[in-house]
Amino acid sequence: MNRVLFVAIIAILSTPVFAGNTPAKKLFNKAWKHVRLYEFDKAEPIFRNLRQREKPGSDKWIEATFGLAVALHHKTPPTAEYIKEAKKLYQLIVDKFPNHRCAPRALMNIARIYEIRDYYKDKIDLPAARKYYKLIIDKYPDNPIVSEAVLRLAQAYTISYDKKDIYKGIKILIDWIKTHPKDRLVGVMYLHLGDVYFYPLQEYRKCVESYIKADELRSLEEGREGFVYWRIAWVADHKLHDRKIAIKYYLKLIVEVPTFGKGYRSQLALKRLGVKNIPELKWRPKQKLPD
Amino acid sequence: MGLKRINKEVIGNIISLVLLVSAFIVSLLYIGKTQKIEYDPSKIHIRISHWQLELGYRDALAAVIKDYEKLHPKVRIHQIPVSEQFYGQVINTNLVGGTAPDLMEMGFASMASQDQYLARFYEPMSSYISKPNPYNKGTDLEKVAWRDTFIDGMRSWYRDTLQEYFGVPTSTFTIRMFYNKDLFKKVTGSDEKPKTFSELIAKLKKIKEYAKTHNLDIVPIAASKYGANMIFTRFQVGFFANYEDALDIDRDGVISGLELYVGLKEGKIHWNDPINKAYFSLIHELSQYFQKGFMAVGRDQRMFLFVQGKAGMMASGSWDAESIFRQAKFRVGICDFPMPVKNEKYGKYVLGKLSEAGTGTGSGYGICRYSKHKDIALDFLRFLTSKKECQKFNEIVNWIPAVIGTHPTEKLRDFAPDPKGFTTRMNWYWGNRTRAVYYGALAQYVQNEISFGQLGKKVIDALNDKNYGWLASAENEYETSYNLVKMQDQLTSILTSDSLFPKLIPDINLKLREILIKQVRYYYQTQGYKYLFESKLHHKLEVE
Repeated sequence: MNRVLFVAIIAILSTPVFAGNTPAKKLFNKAWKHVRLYEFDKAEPIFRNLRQREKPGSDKWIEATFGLAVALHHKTPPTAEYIKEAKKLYQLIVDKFPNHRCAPRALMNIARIYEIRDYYKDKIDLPAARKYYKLIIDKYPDNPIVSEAVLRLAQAYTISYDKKDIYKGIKILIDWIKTHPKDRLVGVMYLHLGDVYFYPLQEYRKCVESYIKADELRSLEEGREGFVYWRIAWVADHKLHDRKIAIKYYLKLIVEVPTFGKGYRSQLALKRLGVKNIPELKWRPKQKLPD
Repeated sequence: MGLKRINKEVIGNIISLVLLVSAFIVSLLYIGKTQKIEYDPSKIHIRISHWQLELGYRDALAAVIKDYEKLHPKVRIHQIPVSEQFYGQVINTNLVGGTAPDLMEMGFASMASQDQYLARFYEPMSSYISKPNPYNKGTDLEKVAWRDTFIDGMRSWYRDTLQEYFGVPTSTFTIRMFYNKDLFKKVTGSDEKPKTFSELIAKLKKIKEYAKTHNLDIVPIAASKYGANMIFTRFQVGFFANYEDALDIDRDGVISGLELYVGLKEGKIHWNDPINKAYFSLIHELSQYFQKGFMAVGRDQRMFLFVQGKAGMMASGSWDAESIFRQAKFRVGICDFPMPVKNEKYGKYVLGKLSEAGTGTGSGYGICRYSKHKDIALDFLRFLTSKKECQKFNEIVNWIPAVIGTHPTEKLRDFAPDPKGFTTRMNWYWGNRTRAVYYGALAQYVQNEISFGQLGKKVIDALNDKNYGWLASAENEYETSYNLVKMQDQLTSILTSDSLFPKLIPDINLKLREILIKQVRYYYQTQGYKYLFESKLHHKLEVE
């Protein structure tokens, strides 16, 4: 009787439920931890192993496939082979499991592979990148990733620094902002518009308006707001001769970002612009001036 | 007789042996007792390691530790000071061996400064520093995010590539000129600090003449290669800020190597420009008051010369102040670098002084990711950097506290950072190779080996050299920027993967938005660099 019970326990423990699940969970955690620590080379064999162990097409198998693709995509030193395999795996998810939650991100990662130079002598393919960004927008219009795709698509035009392309990029952003004014990335889009209007277009009025909107939407780089404030103040003062905006942003440089280093120049500018009661330049806890 | 001698020897040996054994037993007992006290198993032990062997630092940290232990009797904090030379080895080997201290001073070790190790071995601080420091309760910083309680908002601790903070600072540092008040009084009749460049030169001249007349081994300024460049840089901004409006194309407040070179090609600046000439003339004039052969002198030798009373002045940072105060046998004065004022020689070319608004913070500690008591280590860091304790700590070591609302000691008052002034930086080099040429030629120039014209020729020739000048520098800079873009892409991938699967990173959506802002901007600027280079210098910029 005891022998039968013993055999039964062994048989139960040998089933995939007991033999595979707990270690697999641990392995997934381990692999993702390696990814978080930039140890892509250590994550790769674990994901590869998990991909073999999990049932093809299951959620865990797709996770392992995506994880393996990410590990190969960013493994250093990068090679054409790794990138090729990563792209193939992302594409597999996109083609076979388009409704899986990671499919839109897989598409995005393919687009990034086309847009960014990954390895020695890698060729940048902007038209292909644009095609994939567009695909995300068309296939997943309700997914939160779509606004990122819009921004990336626009930038895939603006970074060419070719005027015709730049205006295409601008149009993409403006159209999106018009139809999605409450989108979480609208502020970032305004910030990019500000950068593009500043250089190379030198359309200063639009540049300042875009930056101000980005500032209002708190979409400037945390801790580096001074760069944009200085641009706004300088352009408003010297190019647009817009005293009101110039004063507002010179004041921000003194009060909000005194450590940026342009506070003293702002004080001099305010004096030149006839401002009375110029604030003192001193270190103080971060604060926002009322709009 | 012989037997007596043998007996004496035996007795002597026995006594020695007894003494030795007793000493050994006493040592064992002492070690055991110390071990019991120091590593009492009923207490939580935290180790904090640093390389600050300057006078006063260990006392300062010990005082804060004592306060903390009083408040938390269950905790025992052990200070592990290591010299600069070995700090790197100690930290690196302990991190690899899994025996690293709970808190480590950041820097001086590859594993306490390079991105790939920071991500792996140190606790990311973002989520902690965005909340107020509980030890600031009852002060004006009570409701302020911990990060914003520091004068630089912890900007100097932010890792762009990792989009994280890996340490918390305690102090800040500025550079000033130390001067021998007694010597000043004796030679110039006054121990007042010089306020303008003319006043400075007048005092230095008198010291030089005095030494010559009295045949004394005294120099007006104790300098070294390190100290000389410190002085030159302080004067530079006041002159070169004049060029900002004409040369700073992207309006970021810095004249980059590319912007300088474009300016040169477009004729917006040239070597013989009066402003440039005035700056180099000023540093040449000043260098005539340094000791002979100063470029071959090390940092310690220069300080030795000054504290021995053999120099009128010396430039250094606030980190050296306490050591100087304690070692000098004369009254020490401190002054800022006196700039030429209007109506003085060079005055019409100077906009003002260098601003210290952007002064960063330093001497900070990171928490070991694998510490068993991360929560206690974090709590101690909060305690150390609270307004009250940070003030106390810096008062004892005589450094400048990094927390807003604290203040340096009376002796260090002149070291308090002054935000007034200009920040525009511009260098007559672009990249490492031309930098080496510039500094080599500058050393020759200030030591009267070459003229201003010859210095200019060397500098411009180096910039124009196609092999290691403008083109190589641009390729290098572009490549470096592009690699950062790629690293930002890696980080985006890590964050987005985490948001899809393990979901372990806190505030993921906020972080994703932040990295997107940075990435989009930085990528655009990187490509803008390429565009500016190609459109202005009519040459293709390619990296493979």
